[in-house]
This record gives sequence, structure tokens and C-alpha cells, in this order.
Amino acid sequence: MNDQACKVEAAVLRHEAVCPGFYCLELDAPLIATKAQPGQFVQVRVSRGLDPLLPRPISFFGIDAAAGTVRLLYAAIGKGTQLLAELAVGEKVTLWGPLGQGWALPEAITAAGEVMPVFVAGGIGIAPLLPLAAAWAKAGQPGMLLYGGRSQSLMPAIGDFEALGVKVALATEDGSAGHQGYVTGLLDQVAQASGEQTPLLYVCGPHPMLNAVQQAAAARNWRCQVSMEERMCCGLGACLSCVCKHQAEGAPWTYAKVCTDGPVFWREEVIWDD
Amino acid sequence: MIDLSVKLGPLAMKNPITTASGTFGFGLEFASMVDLGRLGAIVVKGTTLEPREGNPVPRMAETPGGMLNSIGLQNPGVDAFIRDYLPPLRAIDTPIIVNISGNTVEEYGELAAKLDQADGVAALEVNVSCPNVKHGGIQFGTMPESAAEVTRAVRAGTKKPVIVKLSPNVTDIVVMAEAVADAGADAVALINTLLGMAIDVKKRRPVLANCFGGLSGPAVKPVALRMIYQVHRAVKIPILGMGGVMNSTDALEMIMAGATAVAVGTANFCNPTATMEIIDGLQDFCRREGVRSMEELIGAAH
Repeated sequence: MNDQACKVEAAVLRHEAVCPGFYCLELDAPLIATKAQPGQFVQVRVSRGLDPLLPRPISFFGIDAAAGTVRLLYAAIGKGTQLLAELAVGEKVTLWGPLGQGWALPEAITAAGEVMPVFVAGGIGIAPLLPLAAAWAKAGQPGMLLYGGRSQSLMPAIGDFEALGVKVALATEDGSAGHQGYVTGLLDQVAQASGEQTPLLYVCGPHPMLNAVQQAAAARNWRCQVSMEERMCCGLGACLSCVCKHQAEGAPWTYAKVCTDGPVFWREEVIWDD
Repeated sequence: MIDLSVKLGPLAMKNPITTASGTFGFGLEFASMVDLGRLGAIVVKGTTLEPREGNPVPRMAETPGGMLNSIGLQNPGVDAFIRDYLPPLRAIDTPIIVNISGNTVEEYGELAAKLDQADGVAALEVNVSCPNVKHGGIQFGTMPESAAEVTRAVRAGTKKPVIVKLSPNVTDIVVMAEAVADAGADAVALINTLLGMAIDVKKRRPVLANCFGGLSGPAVKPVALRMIYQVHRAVKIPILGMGGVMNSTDALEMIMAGATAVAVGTANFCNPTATMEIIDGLQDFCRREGVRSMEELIGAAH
């Protein structure tokens, strides 16, 4: 458990706003980059003082094992992430990881050649899907991205997916791009695009969106992984703050740890009652 | 290397630094970043007779200089602990202290008897003060006679060292400490978390699903120090001090207030290697100040 995690002081190589309120942070962290997997995350200390007290969990947006670098994409919405946004190139930041269980990669999927990966993102949920899409593109199956957001100007990384050969479909609440409405309105496109292949959904976004997409996947009998979000504290499976109701086959439900049992779960493992 | 060893009653520790229950899991969670054998002791997550599923989420809220938690003692139960979690801990060269909670006095006695037989358990920490679990009307941690009764039940169930963890949510901590000391506790641990709450103004609701939670972190340290200081004056048994220790200076404050050993809790979340840095810091302080034994520092502020 957490046997890969190490704590490092990483230098900031690049740090830029990719669109209003969204930042991409590139760090020199070889000990983490060589072990990181798509869907995993790091804990980042955002303050040198005592406020905010707790680290912020941020998933990998880019992993370059050869260069020894990782990229983190985050939305500066709270006190902690706003402090993080002030970090300058050349400064150092304390982080530890990689943490958690990531996505099922192509090599872990039986008959992966007959599968079409479908990445489904809501807002900042786009971040952990990019390294996953890179892994599928490398396996020769770039698949498709269904991406929902409030407005096109607040939806980073579209070009990164297109560059991997991923077919991109957008949904915006304000109608500024693609389908006007939620990302669930794009799911009908999956059946058309998949042809003979079986869709495999990878979903990351706010809880109501996860629930809506996993219900649609269940109705269509598509396999589906979700990256769960919950208020996280230690990130190491020690404090039991971030839990979700979890159903193991043939056992009573328990609270699973989002940080170490997840954040990625198969949709059948999660009890979606709230 | 200066000898930092201490004796928490009958329990020998190579240094005063241990982990606060509930902040260090079952120990191995931190193993890739912390040299567990360097710790003075490890206090593991609270266990109960039966498995507990714990409270609904949200279970945690960050506050200025602190955090609230309301986990609700989620744990696999004492039998699963002994079967699944204890064996790998035996390989670590440090005493393992098991924190126990019961719904009734009898449950505490039964837990103590089970763990008395368990190889690899060095001592018991008796939680009479979890703020997040509703008992059937009895609050062991706020009534001296109830706390004493629990202490007697545990004492009767085990020959291992018994540390009773006290709640700060009382009018007079000294009365509580005296009651459990008279009832046979080998040491007292203080303080558990302070009962608090946070409100989400947009939702107009409490942040925590359980409404109230336990406040920990640097915000509570002055309260902890004051209580350790008071208890040190009043009782003869040693104190395991805790409450917002972030660094070695905080640990030294606890020791000088009267703590023989110090548990690091919330700091483990902010900095997983906090315990190691605190032990290093104690070494440095003793070297700089010419301290030869921790005995010189315990209660030095009195």
C-alpha cells in the first residue's frame, strides 16, 4: 500500500494559465514521474505556513518518465489552489506520490483491440484523462472524448486530445461550442462512432455527472470506470476522511477509501444512492 | 546520537515521539516515506469489538490552522485487526499501541482481554473521549466515575500498560485525570479533539454530515499545553501529550509542560515525514542545549 509513494521538493519548470482560472504546473520530479500511472495523483503542499493546513490532491495531467517531469492541471477555485497559482518558475514545491489506483490501461483490458475507449470529462475532470488517452493512442486506439463544461473558454486541453488523434465532441451549458447542455447529451454519438467495437467509458467530473453517465452506461451495457471525488485529507488511506460506499461481490457494503482503494473504481463497485 | 529514550510508565520508548490514533492508519500506510522503526511507538487506528462502518461523508472540514473530523471509528473490528493488521506490525522494531473504544464498560473489558492475548501489542490506549460516536446516553469521557469504571474494566482485562486518552471537552481535566489514575491507569493521553463545527454558508447547512466534529491541528495546541501543564501538577502517572504538534519546538513545549511522550497527529497529513523531522529536531535541540536525558526536560516549564 502506497509502496510507490515518495516525498520530494520539486522545482517548477513551467507554470501558466491555460484558460481563465485553470493552471498547468510542470514539475521536475523524476522519482515520481518514473512511477506515476494515469489516474493517480500527488499531494501538493500549497502553503509554507499553517493556512491552508492540508495538502491538495491533484491528478497527473502529463507524465514524462524519460524527462522526469509531471504536469498538473488544476482550477484555482479555493484558497489553497489560489496560493498554488502564485508559485513562480524556479521555485520549489513539496509533493508526495504517486498515490491511488489509476485507470485500467489498454494492457489490462482483455481483447483491447475490440474496445473503443471513450473519455468522458466534466470541467476540470479532463485532467486525469489526458495521460490515459496518451496510453490508448500509443496502443493504436485513440478513441473519443466527450467533454462538458460551462463555456468553451473554460475548457482547457481540447487541442492536447486532438493531437493524440482522439475524436472530440463538446457540450457546453451556454452553447458556445458543440451540443448545448450536459455531456450526457453526447452519449448517443458513442454508439455511432464505435461500430463493431465495444465502448469502454472512463469518466471524471462532479458527482452528479458521474452518476448520470454511469447510469447511461449501465442502461447500454457498456463497461465504465469512474474517478471519484471526495474531500481528501491524508491521501494515504490513514485518516478515512474520503470514503465512498463500495460494493464488493458477495459481501456487505463498506466505506472504501477514495484515496487508496480509488480514486478510480469500476462503476459496479460504487453504491450510487446519494 | 543523544539518548532520547523515555519510559511512559511501564512502556519503554526509544524516543518520545509516537503517532496519534486515527492519523497513522495501521502504520504501513506511511512505510514508504517513514522509517517506522525510528518511531518511539506507533498508536494505530481505534478498534472496536465489532466492525464499524463509520459516519457518512463529508467527514472532514479544513479550518484556519486546523481541521474537523467526524470519521465515526470506522474500523474492521478487533478480531480482524489481530488477524489481518497486527502480523506485519510485529516485524517493526517499535512498540505498537492499540487504541480501543467500546459502547459499554463490558466491551472495554472484553477488548482489553482479547488484546492482552495478542502477541505484538505493547500497550492499550483507552479512548473514553471520541467526540464522533453516540453512546446510549453514557459519555464515558466527561464523567469522572464513568471514565474510572472503564479504566478498571480494562485494567482487570490486561497486564499490559494502560493509557487512558482524555477528552478536553470537560470543565476540569484534572478531575478526569485523577479519576483514571486512581482507577489504575499507567498513563494518561491528552488531549483528544475539541468538539467543533463548520457551516457551508451557500448551502446554509453544517459542512460535516455528522454536524459536529473533532478539531485538531495547530489551532488546538495552546489548549493542549495548558491541560498537560495542569495534569502534570496534579497526578503522578506519566502523560502522553498531543494536540497540534507540527514540529520539534511544539513537541518540546509539550514535554516541558509535563508530557513524557508526544503523539504527532494532524501533522502527518500536512507532512508525511513530520515524525522523522521532529525526532531529528529533538536530537538537534539536545545537542545544542547539552541535554543528556529527556528527564531533564519533562515538566521543565513548571
